[in-house]
Amino acid sequence: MSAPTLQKMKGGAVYTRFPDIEVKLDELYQLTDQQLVARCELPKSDPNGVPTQCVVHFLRQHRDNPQVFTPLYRILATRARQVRPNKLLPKHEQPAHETAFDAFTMLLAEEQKGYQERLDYFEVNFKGAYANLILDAQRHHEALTAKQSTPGASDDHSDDQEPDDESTGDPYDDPVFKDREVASVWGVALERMTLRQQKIVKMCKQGFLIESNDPDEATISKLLGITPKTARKDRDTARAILKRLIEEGVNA
Amino acid sequence: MNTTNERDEILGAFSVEPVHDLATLKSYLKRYPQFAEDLVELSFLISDLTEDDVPLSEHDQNRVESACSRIQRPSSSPTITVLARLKERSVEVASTLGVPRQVVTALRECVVDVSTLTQRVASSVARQLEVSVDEFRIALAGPEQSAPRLYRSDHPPRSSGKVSFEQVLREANVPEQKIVELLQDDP
Repeated sequence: MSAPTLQKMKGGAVYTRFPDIEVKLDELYQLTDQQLVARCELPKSDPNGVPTQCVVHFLRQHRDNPQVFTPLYRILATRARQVRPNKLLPKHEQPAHETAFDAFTMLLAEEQKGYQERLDYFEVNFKGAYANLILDAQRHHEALTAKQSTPGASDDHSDDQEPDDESTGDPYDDPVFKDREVASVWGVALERMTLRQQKIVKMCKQGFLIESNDPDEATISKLLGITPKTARKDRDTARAILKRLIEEGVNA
Repeated sequence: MNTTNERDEILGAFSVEPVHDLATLKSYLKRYPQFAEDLVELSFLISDLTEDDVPLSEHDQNRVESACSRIQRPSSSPTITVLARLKERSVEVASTLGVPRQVVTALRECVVDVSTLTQRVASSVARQLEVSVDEFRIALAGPEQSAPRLYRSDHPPRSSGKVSFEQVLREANVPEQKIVELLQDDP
């Protein structure tokens, strides 16, 4: 039987691993140390491959046993490098991925000295927890950049005086945002957008509407605290940047 | 709870949700509108990340190596330690036992059937190697560590497989009296 994850949720309940992970852990607990390491070394896609959540779990269980801890640490560092964005990253987001990798491997190394609470999340959902590290790193880099940038360079000037373009199309269905080719120009496109345009284009890709008749619906304009007109204008500018790059290439 | 702790807790909870679809995101946004920007960005990051078994680039490999240098290395296993010390101290061990060095080499290469070693010989060598008798016996019980060598021998090459300590002594032309002495255990 595997050890419980100790992290407590808001409200006091304890996080639990997904059932398939619990089953896999029970199976892996039957192995010798050598067999365990050999199994973890298999690719994740192998029928006998071990989910990354389980590798994290066993690394923590063997924090006092370097014969197991060391190879599992290497496997996890390798798997962390295999976590990649689907799209090419804009330059300003690349350092966040490197920082997240350092933060993750640091957490693993610290676990050798003692329990690291944050690793609990990685035992439950590795990709989600790793994305959260990237977000932290992104926010950290943004804060540093904001300190260094000149005041007034932000995109937060209101466009509310501009006439509405009367665009009522749902951005969720916009082919430009759905186009597979977006991946190849994504990084360059984001570099050419303002911060708010970047946020809007990301929300459009996730399926958010600019506005809604439902007062309880989370919409782009509500979440960003701007009018629907401003949101549409930013969205259209972002769409134009993406479209131009797809049609003319990143050197356009 | 301060805002930073609450933010970390909410984002942590969202990150471990089993499904990260629009419905999950919206339910968090409804409950925690104050963290909307972070939740939307985190959701976008999660949906955009993949975990494929792709080969690592040279840069990635260097980053992994660099990360590995942070942790404590495992100490050498007792077996490696015993065999390494047998190599380093082969002259002294041979001298103590009063046998040619090729006998020590046979021990180091795990050619000798460890059950044919007397307790007296095992204790004497283990003491000289500064390891326990058990560690010494376990190390020698491992697979043969054959190494290609060029030397002349009065005997034809031995077929693979462990041999008795006595046979090794005879092949090394150890005097009969010494063989008897080495094969005799303390009463």
